[in-house]
Amino acid sequence: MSSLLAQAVAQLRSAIDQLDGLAVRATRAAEDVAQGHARYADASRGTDHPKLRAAVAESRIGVDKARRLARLSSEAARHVAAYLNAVAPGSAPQPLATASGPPSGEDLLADSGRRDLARSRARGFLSRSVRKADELQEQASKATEMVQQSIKVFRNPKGPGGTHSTGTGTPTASGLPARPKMDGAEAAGNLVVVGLLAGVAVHRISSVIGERIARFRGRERRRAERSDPGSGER
Amino acid sequence: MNVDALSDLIRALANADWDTADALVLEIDRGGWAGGLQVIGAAFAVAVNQRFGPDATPNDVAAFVSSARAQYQEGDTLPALEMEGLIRAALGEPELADSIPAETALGAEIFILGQLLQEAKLTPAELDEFVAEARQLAAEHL
Repeated sequence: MSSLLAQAVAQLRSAIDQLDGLAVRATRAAEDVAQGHARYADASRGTDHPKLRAAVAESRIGVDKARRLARLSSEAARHVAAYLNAVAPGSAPQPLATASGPPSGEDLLADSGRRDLARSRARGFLSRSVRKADELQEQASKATEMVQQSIKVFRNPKGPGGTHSTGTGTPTASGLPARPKMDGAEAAGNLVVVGLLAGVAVHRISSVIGERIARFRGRERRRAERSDPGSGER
Repeated sequence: MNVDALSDLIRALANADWDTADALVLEIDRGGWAGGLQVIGAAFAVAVNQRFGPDATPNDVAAFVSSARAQYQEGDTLPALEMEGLIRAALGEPELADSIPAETALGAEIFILGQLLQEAKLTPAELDEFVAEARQLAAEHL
Protein backbone atom coordinates (compact mmCIF):
# COMPACT_ATOMS: atom_id res chain seq x y z
CA MET A 1 0.00 0.00 0.00
CA SER A 2 1.42 3.38 -1.00
CA SER A 3 2.04 5.88 1.74
CA LEU A 4 -0.62 8.17 0.23
CA LEU A 5 -3.16 5.39 0.32
CA ALA A 6 -2.11 4.40 3.83
CA GLN A 7 -2.64 8.00 4.93
CA ALA A 8 -6.11 8.05 3.42
CA VAL A 9 -7.01 4.77 5.12
CA ALA A 10 -5.67 6.15 8.40
CA GLN A 11 -7.80 9.29 7.94
CA LEU A 12 -10.92 7.21 7.43
CA ARG A 13 -10.10 4.98 10.39
CA SER A 14 -9.65 8.10 12.50
CA ALA A 15 -13.01 9.42 11.29
CA ILE A 16 -14.66 6.12 12.28
CA ASP A 17 -13.01 6.24 15.70
CA GLN A 18 -14.17 9.80 16.25
CA LEU A 19 -17.73 9.03 15.21
CA ASP A 20 -17.72 6.03 17.53
CA GLY A 21 -16.35 8.20 20.32
CA LEU A 22 -19.14 10.69 19.71
CA ALA A 23 -21.69 7.91 19.90
CA VAL A 24 -20.27 6.75 23.22
CA ARG A 25 -20.24 10.28 24.65
CA ALA A 26 -23.79 10.91 23.51
CA THR A 27 -24.84 7.62 25.09
CA ARG A 28 -23.29 8.70 28.37
CA ALA A 29 -24.96 12.09 28.10
CA ALA A 30 -28.28 10.30 27.58
CA GLU A 31 -27.58 8.26 30.68
CA ASP A 32 -26.86 11.39 32.73
CA VAL A 33 -29.99 13.13 31.50
CA ALA A 34 -32.04 9.98 32.16
CA GLN A 35 -30.89 10.08 35.77
CA GLY A 36 -31.91 13.75 35.95
CA HIS A 37 -35.27 12.89 34.44
CA ALA A 38 -35.83 10.21 37.09
CA ARG A 39 -35.01 12.69 39.85
CA TYR A 40 -37.38 15.30 38.42
CA ALA A 41 -40.11 12.69 38.09
CA ASP A 42 -39.64 11.69 41.75
CA ALA A 43 -39.61 15.30 42.88
CA SER A 44 -42.77 16.12 40.95
CA ARG A 45 -44.88 13.44 42.61
CA GLY A 46 -47.73 15.00 44.58
CA THR A 47 -47.31 18.41 43.02
CA ASP A 48 -48.55 20.02 39.85
CA HIS A 49 -46.05 22.85 39.74
CA PRO A 50 -45.56 23.95 36.09
CA LYS A 51 -41.78 24.29 36.47
CA LEU A 52 -41.42 20.71 37.64
CA ARG A 53 -43.76 19.48 34.95
CA ALA A 54 -41.64 21.29 32.37
CA ALA A 55 -38.45 19.80 33.85
CA VAL A 56 -39.88 16.28 33.57
CA ALA A 57 -41.09 16.82 30.01
CA GLU A 58 -37.95 18.52 28.72
CA SER A 59 -35.56 16.08 30.35
CA ARG A 60 -37.49 13.28 28.65
CA ILE A 61 -36.98 15.05 25.32
CA GLY A 62 -33.31 15.48 26.18
CA VAL A 63 -32.89 11.75 26.75
CA ASP A 64 -34.48 11.01 23.40
CA LYS A 65 -32.34 13.56 21.57
CA ALA A 66 -29.11 12.39 23.15
CA ARG A 67 -29.98 8.80 22.23
CA ARG A 68 -30.74 9.95 18.69
CA LEU A 69 -27.34 11.62 18.50
CA ALA A 70 -25.76 8.38 19.68
CA ARG A 71 -27.63 6.34 17.12
CA LEU A 72 -26.88 8.69 14.22
CA SER A 73 -23.18 8.91 15.13
CA SER A 74 -23.00 5.13 15.36
CA GLU A 75 -24.72 4.70 12.01
CA ALA A 76 -22.42 7.25 10.38
CA ALA A 77 -19.43 5.33 11.71
CA ARG A 78 -20.81 2.10 10.24
CA HIS A 79 -21.38 3.75 6.85
CA VAL A 80 -17.82 5.06 6.72
CA ALA A 81 -16.56 1.64 7.88
CA ALA A 82 -18.56 -0.10 5.15
CA TYR A 83 -17.08 2.23 2.52
CA LEU A 84 -13.56 1.68 3.86
CA ASN A 85 -14.02 -2.08 3.88
CA ALA A 86 -15.31 -1.94 0.31
CA VAL A 87 -12.24 -0.15 -1.02
CA ALA A 88 -9.68 -1.66 1.36
CA PRO A 89 -11.13 -4.87 2.82
CA GLY A 90 -10.41 -5.46 6.48
CA SER A 91 -9.22 -1.91 7.08
CA ALA A 92 -12.11 -0.69 9.17
CA PRO A 93 -11.82 -1.01 12.96
CA GLN A 94 -14.52 -2.74 14.94
CA PRO A 95 -17.05 -0.11 16.05
CA LEU A 96 -17.09 0.71 19.74
CA ALA A 97 -20.64 1.93 19.85
CA THR A 98 -23.79 -0.12 19.67
CA ALA A 99 -24.46 -1.44 16.21
CA SER A 100 -28.00 -0.21 15.88
CA GLY A 101 -30.67 1.62 17.77
CA PRO A 102 -30.47 3.46 21.05
CA PRO A 103 -29.35 1.59 24.16
CA SER A 104 -32.14 0.27 26.32
CA GLY A 105 -32.62 1.30 29.94
CA GLU A 106 -31.28 -2.09 30.96
CA ASP A 107 -28.18 -1.55 28.83
CA LEU A 108 -27.59 1.83 30.44
CA LEU A 109 -28.03 0.44 33.93
CA ALA A 110 -25.74 -2.49 33.15
CA ASP A 111 -23.12 -0.12 31.73
CA SER A 112 -23.38 2.10 34.80
CA GLY A 113 -23.11 -0.94 37.07
CA ARG A 114 -20.03 -2.19 35.23
CA ARG A 115 -18.34 1.19 35.53
CA ASP A 116 -19.13 1.36 39.26
CA LEU A 117 -17.70 -2.12 39.75
CA ALA A 118 -14.58 -1.26 37.75
CA ARG A 119 -14.00 1.90 39.80
CA SER A 120 -14.54 0.01 43.03
CA ARG A 121 -12.06 -2.70 42.03
CA ALA A 122 -9.50 -0.13 40.91
CA ARG A 123 -9.80 1.69 44.24
CA GLY A 124 -9.41 -1.58 46.15
CA PHE A 125 -6.28 -2.43 44.19
CA LEU A 126 -4.82 1.03 44.60
CA SER A 127 -5.45 1.41 48.32
CA ARG A 128 -3.66 -1.89 48.89
CA SER A 129 -0.71 -1.36 46.57
CA VAL A 130 0.11 2.20 47.68
CA ARG A 131 1.13 0.81 51.04
CA LYS A 132 4.36 -0.02 49.26
CA ALA A 133 5.04 3.58 48.20
CA ASP A 134 7.86 3.93 50.73
CA GLU A 135 9.34 0.61 49.62
CA LEU A 136 9.38 1.92 46.06
CA GLN A 137 11.20 5.07 47.12
CA GLU A 138 13.85 2.94 48.82
CA GLN A 139 14.25 0.79 45.72
CA ALA A 140 14.06 3.67 43.25
CA SER A 141 17.07 2.67 41.17
CA LYS A 142 15.80 -0.92 40.92
CA ALA A 143 12.38 0.40 39.96
CA THR A 144 13.92 2.46 37.17
CA GLU A 145 15.74 -0.62 35.89
CA MET A 146 12.54 -2.68 35.90
CA VAL A 147 10.62 0.00 34.02
CA GLN A 148 13.45 0.43 31.51
CA GLN A 149 13.46 -3.32 30.97
CA SER A 150 9.73 -3.30 30.21
CA ILE A 151 10.19 -0.50 27.67
CA LYS A 152 13.15 -2.37 26.15
CA VAL A 153 10.88 -5.38 25.65
CA PHE A 154 8.43 -3.22 23.71
CA ARG A 155 11.20 -2.10 21.37
CA ASN A 156 11.71 -5.64 20.09
CA PRO A 157 8.47 -7.16 18.91
CA LYS A 158 8.57 -10.45 17.06
CA GLY A 159 7.97 -10.06 13.35
CA PRO A 160 5.82 -12.36 11.22
CA GLY A 161 6.68 -15.99 11.89
CA GLY A 162 8.57 -15.08 15.05
CA THR A 163 11.43 -13.28 13.32
CA HIS A 164 13.15 -10.29 14.82
CA SER A 165 11.69 -6.94 13.85
CA THR A 166 13.89 -3.90 13.47
CA GLY A 167 10.97 -1.47 13.37
CA THR A 168 10.99 1.89 15.09
CA GLY A 169 8.27 0.99 17.54
CA THR A 170 5.56 2.81 15.66
CA PRO A 171 2.25 0.96 16.04
CA THR A 172 1.51 -1.32 13.13
CA ALA A 173 -1.66 -2.80 11.76
CA SER A 174 -0.34 -6.34 12.21
CA GLY A 175 -3.71 -7.55 13.48
CA LEU A 176 -5.42 -6.75 10.21
CA PRO A 177 -6.00 -9.43 7.59
CA ALA A 178 -4.07 -9.28 4.33
CA ARG A 179 -5.68 -6.98 1.79
CA PRO A 180 -5.84 -7.39 -1.96
CA LYS A 181 -3.80 -4.98 -4.03
CA MET A 182 -5.58 -1.87 -5.25
CA ASP A 183 -5.24 0.07 -8.42
CA GLY A 184 -2.88 2.64 -6.93
CA ALA A 185 -3.08 6.21 -8.11
CA GLU A 186 -6.77 6.65 -8.79
CA ALA A 187 -7.93 4.82 -5.70
CA ALA A 188 -5.40 6.68 -3.60
CA GLY A 189 -6.56 10.01 -4.97
CA ASN A 190 -10.19 9.18 -4.29
CA LEU A 191 -9.44 7.93 -0.82
CA VAL A 192 -7.39 10.99 0.06
CA VAL A 193 -10.28 13.25 -0.92
CA VAL A 194 -12.79 11.12 0.95
CA GLY A 195 -10.50 10.89 3.97
CA LEU A 196 -10.01 14.63 4.09
CA LEU A 197 -13.73 15.27 3.68
CA ALA A 198 -14.54 12.74 6.36
CA GLY A 199 -12.02 14.31 8.71
CA VAL A 200 -13.47 17.78 8.22
CA ALA A 201 -17.03 16.51 8.54
CA VAL A 202 -16.31 14.59 11.71
CA HIS A 203 -14.55 17.57 13.22
CA ARG A 204 -17.55 19.78 12.53
CA ILE A 205 -20.04 17.18 13.74
CA SER A 206 -17.94 16.66 16.85
CA SER A 207 -17.92 20.38 17.62
CA VAL A 208 -21.65 20.78 17.12
CA ILE A 209 -22.54 17.71 19.18
CA GLY A 210 -20.11 18.68 21.93
CA GLU A 211 -21.65 22.14 22.12
CA ARG A 212 -25.16 20.72 22.18
CA ILE A 213 -24.36 18.26 24.93
CA ALA A 214 -22.66 20.97 27.00
CA ARG A 215 -25.55 23.37 26.39
CA PHE A 216 -28.10 20.74 27.32
CA ARG A 217 -26.24 19.74 30.47
CA GLY A 218 -25.92 23.41 31.46
CA ARG A 219 -29.61 23.93 30.91
CA GLU A 220 -30.45 20.88 33.01
CA ARG A 221 -28.11 22.05 35.78
CA ARG A 222 -29.68 25.51 35.83
CA ARG A 223 -33.11 23.99 35.88
CA ALA A 224 -32.14 21.71 38.77
CA GLU A 225 -30.78 24.69 40.68
CA ARG A 226 -33.98 26.61 40.13
CA SER A 227 -36.09 23.61 41.20
CA ASP A 228 -33.90 23.05 44.29
CA PRO A 229 -32.89 26.47 45.68
CA GLY A 230 -30.99 24.84 48.57
CA SER A 231 -28.56 23.10 46.27
CA GLY A 232 -26.45 26.22 45.77
CA GLU A 233 -25.59 26.28 49.48
CA ARG A 234 -23.55 23.05 49.37
CA MET B 1 5.72 14.78 42.86
CA ASN B 2 6.02 13.59 39.26
CA VAL B 3 2.35 13.43 38.34
CA ASP B 4 2.74 15.32 35.05
CA ALA B 5 5.77 13.30 33.96
CA LEU B 6 4.00 10.08 34.96
CA SER B 7 0.97 11.15 32.92
CA ASP B 8 3.24 11.86 29.96
CA LEU B 9 4.75 8.42 30.39
CA ILE B 10 1.28 6.89 30.08
CA ARG B 11 0.76 8.86 26.86
CA ALA B 12 4.13 7.74 25.52
CA LEU B 13 3.21 4.10 26.22
CA ALA B 14 -0.10 4.53 24.39
CA ASN B 15 1.67 6.10 21.42
CA ALA B 16 4.50 3.54 21.41
CA ASP B 17 6.94 6.44 21.64
CA TRP B 18 9.76 4.56 23.33
CA ASP B 19 12.40 7.29 23.09
CA THR B 20 10.12 9.70 24.94
CA ALA B 21 9.23 6.97 27.42
CA ASP B 22 12.91 6.33 28.18
CA ALA B 23 13.58 10.05 28.63
CA LEU B 24 10.61 10.39 30.97
CA VAL B 25 11.74 7.40 33.03
CA LEU B 26 15.08 9.11 33.63
CA GLU B 27 13.30 12.33 34.58
CA ILE B 28 10.96 10.49 36.97
CA ASP B 29 13.91 8.58 38.43
CA ARG B 30 15.36 11.87 39.66
CA GLY B 31 12.25 12.32 41.82
CA GLY B 32 12.57 8.76 43.19
CA TRP B 33 9.27 7.57 41.67
CA ALA B 34 7.21 9.64 44.11
CA GLY B 35 3.58 9.06 43.16
CA GLY B 36 4.58 6.29 40.76
CA LEU B 37 2.59 3.51 42.36
CA GLN B 38 -0.43 5.78 42.56
CA VAL B 39 -0.50 7.22 39.03
CA ILE B 40 0.76 4.17 37.14
CA GLY B 41 -1.20 1.87 39.45
CA ALA B 42 -4.40 3.82 38.83
CA ALA B 43 -3.92 3.81 35.05
CA PHE B 44 -3.08 0.11 35.20
CA ALA B 45 -6.17 -0.75 37.25
CA VAL B 46 -8.49 1.30 35.04
CA ALA B 47 -7.05 -0.21 31.85
CA VAL B 48 -7.24 -3.76 33.23
CA ASN B 49 -10.88 -3.34 34.22
CA GLN B 50 -11.76 -1.85 30.85
CA ARG B 51 -10.05 -4.74 29.06
CA PHE B 52 -11.28 -7.69 31.09
CA GLY B 53 -14.72 -6.76 32.36
CA PRO B 54 -16.53 -8.22 35.34
CA ASP B 55 -16.65 -11.87 34.26
CA ALA B 56 -12.98 -12.48 33.47
CA THR B 57 -11.56 -15.76 34.76
CA PRO B 58 -8.00 -16.58 35.88
CA ASN B 59 -7.66 -18.52 32.62
CA ASP B 60 -8.50 -15.39 30.63
CA VAL B 61 -5.80 -13.51 32.54
CA ALA B 62 -3.22 -16.25 32.03
CA ALA B 63 -4.01 -16.40 28.31
CA PHE B 64 -3.55 -12.64 27.98
CA VAL B 65 -0.21 -12.69 29.79
CA SER B 66 1.03 -15.64 27.77
CA SER B 67 -0.01 -13.99 24.50
CA ALA B 68 1.50 -10.63 25.46
CA ARG B 69 4.86 -12.14 26.41
CA ALA B 70 4.93 -14.21 23.22
CA GLN B 71 4.73 -11.09 21.07
CA TYR B 72 8.22 -9.85 22.01
CA GLN B 73 11.73 -11.15 21.54
CA GLU B 74 12.49 -10.66 25.23
CA GLY B 75 8.99 -11.41 26.47
CA ASP B 76 10.21 -14.33 28.55
CA THR B 77 12.18 -11.91 30.75
CA LEU B 78 8.87 -10.58 32.07
CA PRO B 79 7.56 -12.14 35.32
CA ALA B 80 4.49 -14.11 34.22
CA LEU B 81 3.16 -15.07 37.65
CA GLU B 82 3.53 -11.56 39.02
CA MET B 83 1.82 -10.13 35.94
CA GLU B 84 -1.10 -12.49 36.38
CA GLY B 85 -1.24 -11.72 40.10
CA LEU B 86 -1.32 -7.97 39.50
CA ILE B 87 -4.06 -8.20 36.87
CA ARG B 88 -6.17 -10.38 39.12
CA ALA B 89 -5.47 -8.01 42.01
CA ALA B 90 -6.89 -5.17 39.92
CA LEU B 91 -9.90 -7.34 39.07
CA GLY B 92 -10.99 -7.81 42.66
CA GLU B 93 -8.35 -9.94 44.40
CA PRO B 94 -6.14 -7.13 45.78
CA GLU B 95 -4.39 -9.43 48.26
CA LEU B 96 -2.58 -11.11 45.36
CA ALA B 97 -0.40 -8.00 45.00
CA ASP B 98 0.79 -8.11 48.60
CA SER B 99 3.74 -10.43 48.06
CA ILE B 100 5.04 -8.71 44.92
CA PRO B 101 7.97 -6.32 45.51
CA ALA B 102 7.11 -2.71 44.68
CA GLU B 103 9.72 -2.33 41.95
CA THR B 104 8.68 -5.59 40.28
CA ALA B 105 5.06 -4.49 40.43
CA LEU B 106 5.87 -1.14 38.85
CA GLY B 107 7.82 -2.70 35.98
CA ALA B 108 5.10 -5.27 35.32
CA GLU B 109 2.36 -2.65 35.49
CA ILE B 110 4.20 -0.52 32.95
CA PHE B 111 4.41 -3.41 30.50
CA ILE B 112 0.79 -4.50 30.93
CA LEU B 113 -0.43 -0.92 30.75
CA GLY B 114 1.54 -0.29 27.57
CA GLN B 115 0.25 -3.48 26.00
CA LEU B 116 -3.37 -2.72 26.87
CA LEU B 117 -3.15 0.87 25.64
CA GLN B 118 -1.63 -0.15 22.34
CA GLU B 119 -4.30 -2.79 21.84
CA ALA B 120 -7.03 -0.27 22.67
CA LYS B 121 -5.85 2.18 19.96
CA LEU B 122 -7.41 5.12 21.75
CA THR B 123 -8.11 8.35 19.92
CA PRO B 124 -6.37 11.45 21.34
CA ALA B 125 -9.62 12.48 23.04
CA GLU B 126 -10.09 9.01 24.55
CA LEU B 127 -6.49 9.02 25.75
CA ASP B 128 -7.04 12.40 27.40
CA GLU B 129 -10.12 11.00 29.10
CA PHE B 130 -8.24 7.90 30.21
CA VAL B 131 -5.34 9.89 31.68
CA ALA B 132 -7.74 12.25 33.44
CA GLU B 133 -9.58 9.31 35.02
CA ALA B 134 -6.31 7.75 36.17
CA ARG B 135 -5.09 11.04 37.67
CA GLN B 136 -8.41 11.54 39.44
CA LEU B 137 -8.24 8.05 40.93
CA ALA B 138 -4.58 8.47 41.87
CA ALA B 139 -5.32 11.81 43.58
CA GLU B 140 -7.43 9.93 46.13
CA HIS B 141 -4.29 8.12 47.26
CA LEU B 142 -1.56 10.76 47.00
